[in-house]
Amino acid sequence: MLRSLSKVLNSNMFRPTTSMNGYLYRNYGSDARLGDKEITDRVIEIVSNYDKVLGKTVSPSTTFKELGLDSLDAADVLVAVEEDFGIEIPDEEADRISSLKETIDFIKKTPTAK
Amino acid sequence: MSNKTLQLYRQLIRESKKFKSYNFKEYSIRRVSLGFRENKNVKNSEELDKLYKSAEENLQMLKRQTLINSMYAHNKLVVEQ
Repeated sequence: MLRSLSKVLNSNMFRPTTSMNGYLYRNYGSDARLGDKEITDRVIEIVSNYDKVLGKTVSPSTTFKELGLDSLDAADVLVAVEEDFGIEIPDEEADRISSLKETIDFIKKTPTAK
Repeated sequence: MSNKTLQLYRQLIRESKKFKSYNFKEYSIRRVSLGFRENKNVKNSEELDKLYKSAEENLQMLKRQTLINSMYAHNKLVVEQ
């Protein structure tokens, strides 16, 4: 509950770009994409909540292998990321992704991520 | 593990997450991930083919079952709230 609330508050959608008559709104066509920092934070949170990673330090430059994850674990993490951002990572991309940085970069170039 | 197998694994996990009822969902996610890990050291290509085929059949079964499952109303369990 709290987590979903903070997600709403953090999302760019509600970040005002213009203020008029005391009302805050976002212009049509303005960029609703997520900020880099938010993507990084959320990916790190998902990865560090994965069973086998609990207690290890996760930074954006870590690879899945360094965290002791095999290819199946990495697939689990990617599906969790997909679910959280409401996207589907195509197979060719998912086969290539082997680190947090690659995951974050993919989400950055996916405009539908939320 | 080959890319083909990993793609099938991802599809199975994605499909499992579509279950609306908690018990079905948790069971199928657990069953899929344990099943793949049980057989991760299989090298025999004949056996691998057999496993791949059965996983494909299970994927079709999951697709049918998640669809049927979504047609019925579910109250959230206490653990989900």
